[in-house]
Amino acid sequence: MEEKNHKKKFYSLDNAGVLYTAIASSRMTTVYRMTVELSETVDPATLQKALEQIIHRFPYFQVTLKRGFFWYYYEHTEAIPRVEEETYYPCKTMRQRQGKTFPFRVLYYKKYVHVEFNHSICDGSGGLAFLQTLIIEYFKLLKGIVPKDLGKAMDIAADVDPGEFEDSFKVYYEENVPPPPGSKKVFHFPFELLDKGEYLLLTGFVPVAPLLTLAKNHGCTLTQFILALYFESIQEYIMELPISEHKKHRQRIAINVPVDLRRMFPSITLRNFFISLNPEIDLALGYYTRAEIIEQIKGYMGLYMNRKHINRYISRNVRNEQLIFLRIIPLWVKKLFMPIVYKRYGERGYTSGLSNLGVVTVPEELRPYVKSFEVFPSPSAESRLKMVTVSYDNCLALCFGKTTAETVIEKIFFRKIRQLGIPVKIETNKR
Amino acid sequence: MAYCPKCGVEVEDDVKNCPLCDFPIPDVNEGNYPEESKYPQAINTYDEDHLGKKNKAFFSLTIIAISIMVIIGVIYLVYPWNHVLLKYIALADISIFAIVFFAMGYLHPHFNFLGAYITVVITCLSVYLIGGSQANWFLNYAFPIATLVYLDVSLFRFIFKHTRHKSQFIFIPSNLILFVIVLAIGIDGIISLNVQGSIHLTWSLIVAVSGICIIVLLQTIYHRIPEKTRRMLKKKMHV
Repeated sequence: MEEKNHKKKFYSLDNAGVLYTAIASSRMTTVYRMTVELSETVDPATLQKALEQIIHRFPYFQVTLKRGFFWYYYEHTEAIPRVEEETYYPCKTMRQRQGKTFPFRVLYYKKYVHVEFNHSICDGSGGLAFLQTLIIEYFKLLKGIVPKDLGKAMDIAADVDPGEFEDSFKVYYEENVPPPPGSKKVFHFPFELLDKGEYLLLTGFVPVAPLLTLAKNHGCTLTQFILALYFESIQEYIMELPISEHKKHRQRIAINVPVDLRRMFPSITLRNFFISLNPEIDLALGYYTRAEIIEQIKGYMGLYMNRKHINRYISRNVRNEQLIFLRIIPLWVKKLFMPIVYKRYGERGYTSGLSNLGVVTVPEELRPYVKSFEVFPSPSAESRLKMVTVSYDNCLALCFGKTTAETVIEKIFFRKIRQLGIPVKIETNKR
Repeated sequence: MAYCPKCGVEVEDDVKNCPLCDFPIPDVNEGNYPEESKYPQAINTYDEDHLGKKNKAFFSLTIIAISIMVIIGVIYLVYPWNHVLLKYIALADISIFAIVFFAMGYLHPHFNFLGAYITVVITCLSVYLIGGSQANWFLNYAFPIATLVYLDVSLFRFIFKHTRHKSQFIFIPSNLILFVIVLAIGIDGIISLNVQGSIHLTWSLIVAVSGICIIVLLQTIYHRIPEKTRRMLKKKMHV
């Protein structure tokens, strides 16, 4: 502790982390995955060396999860993480062993490097910064490339800024802001679940440019356009069901869209800092055309994506965390009840999730060696199919993660994209 | 490059069926591709991890149960205390341990339930023998009621297994009510047989009639009244 004052020993969980650790189970592992495809087979020894080089720049990730009496917490560990060859299902649950396990794992397989992060330590934005730093260091060691412009990656020679591990939820929390309206029950996919511990991934690669043109023609952003296509696919799935079934399912469809708050608040934290909005369409009102769905989404985002409204969510979440009688419940009781409460109130409000991580870049010098980026959501039992989109080098990866073997939604979704005249390439770990 | 003829999407070269619609993809290049799949054949470690945790818990329980038995045994042999009470404690220790073993699900569910049933019967018999009561309560009440509950639970499990994928709000309540009806009739029968010497049902009939009404109502909601009956009702009941 005395060597450098930024080397903290103890990190309390941030607001989202508190929830994620309490609801984690062998099915809801709260682990998400980031994949990067390189042009050549990965060299494990170099990758390990690169990881060892950069881990000191991320002291807030060089930690291990511990059980307190009331909450979990992260404690600094001197152990060094190891890279492993991928052998298990993706997003496997993370076990905690005293001082030996990390909230992330680095895997490699053939040309792919996977980094899996526990969502309780950081969100996609923080995870990508770590992954980009790792890739830059890997190529520095392997090919001696020293890029000039690091982009969003961290400079491993620089000092750690305390702002990188602050809990921004608490910083931007305002008292006395009324909570947002509660969520209503929505349609959930009636698909059969896979066995516990299994998780399927399916990625569709599409070129960005034609999609962007189409989105511009509709007067919306790329995320909104993909969101509209996704809504449309779910709607089409319900409408194609036999008549008795689809009458029963004529409910709301809501999709959970996380908003990266770093764009809205001046924060540089690498830990969780996002809030989810739930745009929805109500099938009880009738069939929606694509233009109507886009209008609906645009209207919703216009109304709610602003600092004032987002503040209501932040305030509610932080206030809930600070409730004194929630705090004094022992951890094992929390662990018992939180999954039920979350299932009832958290996941009830959305059918599926779509998270757009935006454009990922690597330094110009590395462009020939890095072929693609993918990010997969963490598994969940209630919303059996979730999507994350990320674009790199004019190629958009539409990454589905699912706890069901059914592919009907993706089939409709990708056929829609094909009908727009856009080529799609599908990759999956299903056998 | 391989394409799915139905979805029109490009797929990986070594894929046999389309990952979206499962349509077989024609092998146009007729060449043998090297194994180029992006993901390894994944291993699911859930069962192993789960078993490990369960074994740990079971091991601790075994240690506790054995140490209680040893303590009781030593007290029984060395210290002249209430021997009947010690026997009861030892019996409770063994039967709780057996029930916990069956509840942890190491065996097939059928055997677990059967084991729990046998444990209950043996425990009752032992209590009966240790206590030495005059009234023959074991044969008259304990054994029939335990058997009844066992058969009833088996029936419930059988029905539940066949209806679990249907609407849970209809079938779980119906099955539970059926379970209660069978249990009530059985207990009423056993009591009347012992008290009056013949089966004479009273209160259980009320339970049965009202229960059946609720089941019929729930099933009607689920299956809907047939169109013909509905038309007839509409005519007769119009206001």
